[in-house]
Amino acid sequence: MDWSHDPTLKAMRLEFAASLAERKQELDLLVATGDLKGLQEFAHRLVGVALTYEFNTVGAIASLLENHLTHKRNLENVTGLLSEALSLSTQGVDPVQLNDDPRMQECACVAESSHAESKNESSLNQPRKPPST
Amino acid sequence: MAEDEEHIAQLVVFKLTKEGFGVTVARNGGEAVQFLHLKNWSVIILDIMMPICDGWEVLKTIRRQKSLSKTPVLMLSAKRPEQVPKEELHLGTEHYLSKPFDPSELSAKIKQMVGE
Repeated sequence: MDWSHDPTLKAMRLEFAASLAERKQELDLLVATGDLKGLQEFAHRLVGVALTYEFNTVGAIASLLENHLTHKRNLENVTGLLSEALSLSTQGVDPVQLNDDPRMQECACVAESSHAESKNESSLNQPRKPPST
Repeated sequence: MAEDEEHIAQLVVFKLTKEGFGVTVARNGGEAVQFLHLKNWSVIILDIMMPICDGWEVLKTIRRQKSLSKTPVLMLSAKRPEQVPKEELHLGTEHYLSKPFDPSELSAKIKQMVGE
């Protein structure tokens, strides 16, 4: 969507960006209190709204956080990265530079291996076909 | 429309109002249930993950009521349809839109649902 084309849409996107400062505070509080259920809900909501407003890096990191929570992975890197992404986004620009951050690549690798592991587990849990006679 | 995410609701209201629709927003599932009989709704849009009661619970309430059983419902979620349990998809909605969505895609879907 072309956000710059319509002044109302442009203003709405900037307002959303400004609201990310509050979300950063919410994230930091959830991390500090170890509220994993709250973090899961926070990440899920953020994925949908950030990607809709085309803050794709923020949405991608929030999605990695969802994945890390689902697979019970270490959250330190991904929450740190998301907190930074939220701070950087408040001026209205998606922080694409974080895509080159080594933490981002590491988090993506963890998510990828978790996905592969869960696929293997589900194929192991499939009932085996009886041998054909 | 029932949506607890304020910025999503704003975007939908802006787009649909521009297209000539009137939109009422409920901020959670409980409010959505209270609003069900306020008007004769043409379409109901339900976010799935909402406080008080989720979109599936609201949909069950809608489908239990004769006067609303034929009202088209669009489910909106950050989950992709294949991630949603099948029994929930069979609650009586064939309309599903995943977040992120383009507001134009949403308004096209609503027009299709109201038969424009």
